[in-house]
Amino acid sequence: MANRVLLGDHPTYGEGLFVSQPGINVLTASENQLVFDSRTFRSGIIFKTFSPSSTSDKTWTSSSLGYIPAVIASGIRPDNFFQVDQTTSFPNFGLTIDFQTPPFVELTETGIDDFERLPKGNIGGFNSNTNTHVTNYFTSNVYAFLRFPCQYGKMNSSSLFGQSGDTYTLGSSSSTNRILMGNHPTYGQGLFISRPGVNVVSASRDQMIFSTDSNVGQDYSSVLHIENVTLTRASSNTSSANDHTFNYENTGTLPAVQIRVQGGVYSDNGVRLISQTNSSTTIRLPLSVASGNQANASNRRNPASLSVTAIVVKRG
Amino acid sequence: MSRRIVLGKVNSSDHGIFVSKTGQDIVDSSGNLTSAVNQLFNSKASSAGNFTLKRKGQLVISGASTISGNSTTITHNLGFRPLVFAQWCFPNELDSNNVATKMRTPYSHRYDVSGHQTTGLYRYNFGLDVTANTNNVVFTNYGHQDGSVGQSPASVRKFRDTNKTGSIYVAYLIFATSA
Repeated sequence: MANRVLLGDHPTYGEGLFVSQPGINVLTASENQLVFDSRTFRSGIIFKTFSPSSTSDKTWTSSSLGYIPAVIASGIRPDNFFQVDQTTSFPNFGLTIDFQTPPFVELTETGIDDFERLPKGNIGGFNSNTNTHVTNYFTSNVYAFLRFPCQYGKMNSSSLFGQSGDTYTLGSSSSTNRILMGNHPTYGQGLFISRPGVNVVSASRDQMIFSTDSNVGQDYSSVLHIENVTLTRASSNTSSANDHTFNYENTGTLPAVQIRVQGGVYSDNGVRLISQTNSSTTIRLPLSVASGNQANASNRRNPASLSVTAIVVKRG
Repeated sequence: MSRRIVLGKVNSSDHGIFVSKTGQDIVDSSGNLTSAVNQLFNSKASSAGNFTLKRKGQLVISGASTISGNSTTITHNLGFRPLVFAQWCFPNELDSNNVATKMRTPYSHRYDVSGHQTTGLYRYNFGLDVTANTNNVVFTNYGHQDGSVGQSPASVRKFRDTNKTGSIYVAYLIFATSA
């Protein structure tokens, strides 16, 4: 069994709290093998998760963080995300559409919405095409908001990031008292770790990189699991032969799962969540993600295989 | 008051850092960890990797002169493909201080109305794609329109928005997490 937790002086990374991935010795772990590293200015704390109470519920928080945060969006694509109709006597007429996995998000400091509708098309006189973007804003969607600003105009803010430059230098862990396990004067009993350079006793909630205070991560959600897999396109939308199931620790409730095309390519996607339990999720690369006559559309951006990354968020 | 933190040994099979939610003991009366739903942090469970920020920034990417898009590359040289978050906006969504009032997740749309004798009767593309490898992250603005715009159907033209085919404004985060 590997030694995975170090509180003290790491031989490579200096003073701090370090937790490595399962099976990895924390003393020799590379940075991408750590699940917690107290040298960071911000960590993967999820401020809150949000599911709209109705499709008209477009306020994700009533108290702004002071910035637009990075969001992990999870949801099941409607079967007919795009409606493509071809009624033409000229077979080469057509539309190119992209198959991508929603939910796509438009985000403000307090509001959230579905990505805007795509333009419809109608080639009058020759053809009649409709290309309808069906809404993917559902009450079953889960949006997880990280305590990380991701807002143009604020990315060079040293107050938000501790430094204005783009290349990020991990902070010293020994410049001030940063770890408190016990009775915090403001937040009560618990375990608290502040960002480099900030005294844990006087740190604000946004300056904590770990805290047992419920208001730091309002609903105790966390990113639990990240897995990469290459999917093979199914022979039909209902065929389960190429389905992939990935497992993770029991989350207690159904987690939020975001499927990203590996490496971040968001086009050429179309992955569906087929089923979920508290400890596993099954996904499929379907034959098609559009309904209607797709003669000129279905082959344009439906690859035979697709490598994706699944991000599992344990909901609090 | 509940006992919410263990740093060390819980039982013969559980060693690490374990934190429960407010009001929940991290270890139950049988000496076992509380159920997963009551846990806030479990060093055994997480394989999610490290949300340690390696690079961050913002970009302005001009509209594209072709349908291939216009790309900007950020070199990170991490030696692994990192987890990247990118969000972006159109120019009409900046305030007077050039701060975004709205951001959106990566998305690109390519609308190609083809003719029966030629392709590209009218093309109207917009949006952002992001790709990452072990050395670089590439951000591509697909904002572009071409073709016989004047001949394009009125139902398409009325949705045309030149804010979408010009520069876009991107914020990004690159983490020390393999993805």
